[in-house]
Amino acid sequence: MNDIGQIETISFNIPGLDFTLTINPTTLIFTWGIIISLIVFSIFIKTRIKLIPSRIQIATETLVGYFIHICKEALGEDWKKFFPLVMTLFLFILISNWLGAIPNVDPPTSDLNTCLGFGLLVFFIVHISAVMHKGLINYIKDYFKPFFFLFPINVIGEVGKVVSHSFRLFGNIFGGGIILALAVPIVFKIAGILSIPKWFLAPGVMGLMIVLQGFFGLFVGLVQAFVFSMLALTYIAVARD
Amino acid sequence: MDAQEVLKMVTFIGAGLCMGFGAIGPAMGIGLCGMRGTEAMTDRPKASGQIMKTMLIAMAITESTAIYSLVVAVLLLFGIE
Repeated sequence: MNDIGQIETISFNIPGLDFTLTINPTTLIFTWGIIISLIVFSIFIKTRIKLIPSRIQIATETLVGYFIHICKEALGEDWKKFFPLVMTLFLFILISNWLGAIPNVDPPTSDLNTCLGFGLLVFFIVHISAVMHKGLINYIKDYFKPFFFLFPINVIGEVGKVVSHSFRLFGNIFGGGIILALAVPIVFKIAGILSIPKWFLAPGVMGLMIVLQGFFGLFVGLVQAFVFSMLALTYIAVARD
Repeated sequence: MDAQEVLKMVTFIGAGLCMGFGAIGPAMGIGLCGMRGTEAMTDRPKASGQIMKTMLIAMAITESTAIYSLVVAVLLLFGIE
């Protein structure tokens, strides 16, 4: 049971420096794999745009059109600046979460480093875009609203947004992984207590695993990817108001 | 029982309580979200896309308190040696 939640790491010392570098090879490999496959896919789509679209072009156009619609609703005229960010976040997290539906694969989003990285990325983009849009003085004034003594609470709220934003994604994917890893041992343990033979349970356990993988991998993954990108968009839109 | 075993026992009990009590509020909140969402969707079927989007986001925000308790429970379970 102790290997659940452990991520393989490699540590090595940089020669000449008193510094230890730790990397998570699984996360890195899958992250770069997703990035490269997204780039290849977009080039593939872009070179094959036709007047009479193929099926895959229709699917891509529908998805992109839906996100353009949402960005226009939230940001108005400035949607072009932030649409690539929101779309890329959605696609990356979606594919990463769907990797979790494959047994024995740890998706990059079940590593807190990835999720916290995205959370910090959104945090910096939100605040820098707010400063550039409103000016520094108006931006600082917002922290003293509605009353000047609420300043500390506003600051804590901004920091809490990063934590909740990244931990929501991490907790959902990681928790789903834990439930998937625990489901089969628990069923067999209960069967052992009730002395039910294992071969009798095998078809039921297979069906249960398919349902659980589908729910935690595909459905929760889609919802969380959508929620993460929508919240990023909402934070940007609220900070620029 | 030595001190280490008592510590381990208390940690496991604490993790279970943390997850159990931490899930009560979000469960009720998500239930309310779904209830009001379906009510609104049956009232205005034309706006169901917009309502669905808002409902999902509200559900995810409500859920995050349960996620905090999950993270604390996991820290308790795997942080103890």
